[in-house]
Amino acid sequence: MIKAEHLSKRYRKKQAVDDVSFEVATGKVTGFLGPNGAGKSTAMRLMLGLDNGPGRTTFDGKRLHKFANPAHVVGVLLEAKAFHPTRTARNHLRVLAAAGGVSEKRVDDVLELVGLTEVAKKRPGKFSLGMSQRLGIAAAILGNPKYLVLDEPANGLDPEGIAWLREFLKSYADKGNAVFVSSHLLSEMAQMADDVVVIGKGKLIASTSMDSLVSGSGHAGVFVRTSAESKLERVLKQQKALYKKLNGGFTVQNMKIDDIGKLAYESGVPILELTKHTATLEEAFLELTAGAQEYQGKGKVNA
Amino acid sequence: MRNSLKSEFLKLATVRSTYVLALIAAIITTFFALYVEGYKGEGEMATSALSKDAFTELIPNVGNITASFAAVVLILFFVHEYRYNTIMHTLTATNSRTKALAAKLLAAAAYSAVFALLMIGVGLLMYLLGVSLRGGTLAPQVFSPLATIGKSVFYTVGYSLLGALFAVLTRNLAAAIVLLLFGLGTVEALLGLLLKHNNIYLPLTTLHQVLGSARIEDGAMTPLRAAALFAVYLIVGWAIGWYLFLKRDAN
Repeated sequence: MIKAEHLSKRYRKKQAVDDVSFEVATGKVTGFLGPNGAGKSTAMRLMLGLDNGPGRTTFDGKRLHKFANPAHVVGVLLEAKAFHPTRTARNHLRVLAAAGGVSEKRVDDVLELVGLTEVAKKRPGKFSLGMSQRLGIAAAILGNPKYLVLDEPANGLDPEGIAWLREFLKSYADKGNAVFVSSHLLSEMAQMADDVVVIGKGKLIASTSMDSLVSGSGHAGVFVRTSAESKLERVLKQQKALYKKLNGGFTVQNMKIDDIGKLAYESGVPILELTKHTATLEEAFLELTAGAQEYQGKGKVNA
Repeated sequence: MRNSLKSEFLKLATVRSTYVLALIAAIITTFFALYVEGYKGEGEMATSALSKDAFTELIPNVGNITASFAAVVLILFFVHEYRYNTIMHTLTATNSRTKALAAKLLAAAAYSAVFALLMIGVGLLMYLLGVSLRGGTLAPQVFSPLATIGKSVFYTVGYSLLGALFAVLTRNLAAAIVLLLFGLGTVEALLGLLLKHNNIYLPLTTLHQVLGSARIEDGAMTPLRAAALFAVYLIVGWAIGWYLFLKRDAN
């Protein structure tokens, strides 16, 4: 397990990360979400000891520098183009393999795994963003680490690449490893992550399972539509139900679908539609981070 | 530490700039040793009267040429880690920043020493070739190989490690190169106006005295004293560099 405790970082007047604590479980993919400028990258750098700041992060109970060979503990991808542009892709990985005490055979294995064997001897300076990401992922998994910390690894990948990444990370976690990954692609994250950590303006907003996050959203609940709205509303009030008027009906949040059906039947309220509504990750995310956006567009495009 | 060292040597050996700069240094050394010193010689000097001090004069000159190129290679070696953010990999692959810096420093020093020795070898061979093309014969040389080559290697290593130190302190390619090639020399020239004869204790002036440079007039330090003083400057500078390497964010 990765345990991050009280991570903080201040840049002059700006508190980039403010007392953030969370856990990343093994055997799972944990998504790291937050609006632009929320402090995700800084938090990841703090976790890895690249930035200095209060707080501590342990991997299986130990600080990273306490391990004899950290390259076998955590694999890192914080920036797609973190390589020398004229050092070939294979040599880039050879340099990292040497530093981590990894065999050169593993270099060729990971190049094949990420689909870069054909360009192994090419200089990566002119790689596309997607190819650079693949090289970054190859670097991260080089030491076959138990933990992966990846910052926006899906950026620039084509749909096939994204699907490959999703399956790869899920299977990596299924082997008992932990994957901590940030992404702005919420639909991808919804398919990939088991747990989520959400931050906004440097502060922790949520650290929970994906299911809890989505089911706890105000957009989640039971949607009920009737021809006798005022009567249903009166009945819901009597039951102290939490509800919102939405799309010509009611979304009830604290009652089960069966109970609402039974209640409506007993009260003589005709039901036209009764469905369970699951919020999307995007809805839950936007609801959670409302007001926590560092940068917001205000203009509208006139068609 | 062994892993880190191997990785640092690989970094130096797998970038184009290392070879391009070495090639330029070799070309300049060849031109200087073969043509200027060996073939053309000094004036109308008879072949039989070729200087017995030829090697003593040639080797420090080669060291002077080599030092600038070795320094630029090492500045690139350090600065590119930040420019391309590969420092992220360097630091997460090791369990100690001190170890990472020590490996870099050792690799840098070893590289510049080997580079200096190679260029001295190239210089001597090219000089002999130049003399031969001129139809002359080498006069018996009066020189101490260990001291002469040692001083030249020390100069190259010292100068390039000074450049590397500027790279660690500034993390900026242009700033490090300007500081090394122009900044420090200019500051020392200005300080020399104030310090008068005591300018012999300023870092670059001290380093020049290791070679027994003709620019240093009476009262100069012996090469050994100068080397010791410059080593102290380097140790203090790198102690500051090490402290900052530990305390600053890695970006």
